[in-house]
Amino acid sequence: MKGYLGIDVGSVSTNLAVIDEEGTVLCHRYLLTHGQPIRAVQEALREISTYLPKGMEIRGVGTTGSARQLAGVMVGADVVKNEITAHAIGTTHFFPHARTILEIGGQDSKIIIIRDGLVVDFAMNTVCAAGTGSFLDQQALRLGIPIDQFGRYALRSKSSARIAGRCTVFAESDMVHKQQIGCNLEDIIAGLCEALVRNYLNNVAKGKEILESIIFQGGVAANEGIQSAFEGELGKKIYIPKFFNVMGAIGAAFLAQEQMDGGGKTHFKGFEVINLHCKTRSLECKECENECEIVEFSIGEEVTAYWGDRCGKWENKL
Amino acid sequence: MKITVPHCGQMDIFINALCRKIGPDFVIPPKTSPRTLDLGIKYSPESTCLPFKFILGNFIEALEKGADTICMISDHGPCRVGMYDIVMQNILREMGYRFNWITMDDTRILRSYLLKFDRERRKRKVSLVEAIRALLFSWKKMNVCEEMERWTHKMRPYEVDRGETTRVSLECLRLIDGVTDLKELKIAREDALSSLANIEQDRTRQPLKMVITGEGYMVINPHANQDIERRLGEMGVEVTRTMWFTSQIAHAMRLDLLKKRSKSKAIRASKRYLPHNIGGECNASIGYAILYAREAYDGLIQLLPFGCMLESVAKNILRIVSKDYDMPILTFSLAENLSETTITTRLSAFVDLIQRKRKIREK
Repeated sequence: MKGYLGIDVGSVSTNLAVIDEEGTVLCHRYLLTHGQPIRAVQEALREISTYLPKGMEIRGVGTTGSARQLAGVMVGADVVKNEITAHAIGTTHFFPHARTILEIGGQDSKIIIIRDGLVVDFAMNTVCAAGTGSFLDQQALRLGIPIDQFGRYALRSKSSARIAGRCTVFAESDMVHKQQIGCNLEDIIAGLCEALVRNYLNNVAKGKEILESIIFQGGVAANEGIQSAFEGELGKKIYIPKFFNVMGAIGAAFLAQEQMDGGGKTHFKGFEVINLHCKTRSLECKECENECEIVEFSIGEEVTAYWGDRCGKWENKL
Repeated sequence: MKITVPHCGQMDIFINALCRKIGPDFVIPPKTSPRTLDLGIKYSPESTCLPFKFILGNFIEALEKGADTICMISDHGPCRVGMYDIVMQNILREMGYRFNWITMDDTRILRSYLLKFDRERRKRKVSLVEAIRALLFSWKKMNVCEEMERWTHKMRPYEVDRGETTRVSLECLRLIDGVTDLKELKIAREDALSSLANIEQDRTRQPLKMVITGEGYMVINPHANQDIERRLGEMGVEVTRTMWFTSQIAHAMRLDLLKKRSKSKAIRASKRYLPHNIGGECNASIGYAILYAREAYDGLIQLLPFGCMLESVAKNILRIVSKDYDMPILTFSLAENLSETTITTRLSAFVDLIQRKRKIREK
């Protein structure tokens, strides 16, 4: 049996997925990155290797997410792609009629506009990260509510409190204020969800034509409060796919399949990377006024890759 | 007089050529570096646009290097560049620097700077013929530099070793900067073209074609736009841009009427969407999108400094142009806190978008 592995290393979570030749998702893992992408990838690989069917051969590997390059050199990826393409590929496989993807992750939020199965436009948050997963995590912690209960609280609200969502710091002081004047927790949480959705629609999705079917994915899609706030604001049905939190990884696996269908042998180093001692080191190149920050990646004592240089001198060194 | 100007594209090569021939002494500001920007941010009003911060940084570093006369262009109209010269002078004087300031715009050509330069010329006993000859030589040199750049844009998507085109073209520019007469210039040009042609290439590739437009300073300066031309080139895209030193001068002097992609043609093309010319590069950005869409370019990237009013107007109109002409457009609003990942992720997604579109079309 042959399969393709997709790895999505984001700021908050590290996700893996394995698909077979027909595009069925065989298994997937969702782990927290905890700021240590190398360890997270190794841990996720270890876990997923136990779920794989016997005699499974990995024919190709794709990586995506903010640590795609690091994960790529570590496992030996055949394709390293940005997360916008990866998400779009994953989603359109399951929802050929999707025309809008709302994606909110740990620190990024994006909107992808699709027509006839093709990405035609996209946008990512630039000026602020209000409303992404990290902020919701923080607030859940501050209010003493487990993050997986957050959405349910919001749904119980009868009249939501008005919170300013443009900036996380101001949103927080608004919430504190509402608590102090005696609003109940449910209303504040519902208000926060609405504020974040408004912020998303006014910043990231500004000027984009949001047509149905609308797919909502990324870690934050687990939050029913945000989903219902989107539905309220847009007046349209929002679908949350079964694999909402690993869609990037699935997309990366599809990209690997696409790449390998063109022929060639995989660069995958095998599951042995779980036990290798990988480390990175950053250094500043002082040879010109660009002062590039170079990342050096080594396995054991051997340096296997450099990246981050504008001129290509370090990259071509090995 | 020790004159200085801000870094803007390869304008320093032009001024350098001119000043070496007929004077005065030219102080080239140190190459724009993270320190330049840090200085600019430190002394600029917080909400001013990014070019202001870079240029102020250039001036501070040039004054540190001994410049005593600053030459700065200005404009009138809604663009903030109109207030640059007054505000910058105040900031620099408050910092304790002493200097002369020459403002160059099209309303005070004679009194404000031509006479000043002419006085300087006579003081240095340079004949008028000599001065005009030097001017023409520098202009030719600038044209050669820009021709080189255009070749670099064409060759880069084919290069086999990442970065080789950039290295070769930088070396060629250095050689061109050094030549002192027309004969040498001709040889340097031929040498440059042949060393570019000698770069190992993979001609089986089929690069996408994209055009970069938007606010002039961001378009012309790699240090301000995170080296977007190089990044795109290395992703396999043949780029071109709408803003060149010579095209700006030619436009200001009405010398570009017959050129195919002149700024006046672009402004005219924008009329359907924005009948009134509101100044800056706004109308040109819209018009160029139309001109290049007609030439079957695959995509357009608009660059603007965060908070730029004129380009924000253009941005919203470009959305309609994009639909009407079926050309994908990506807008970057650049501020000093923009990280490299933000740029590369969006660029590669944009390139993917266009490549997949092309694949479907070919089927």
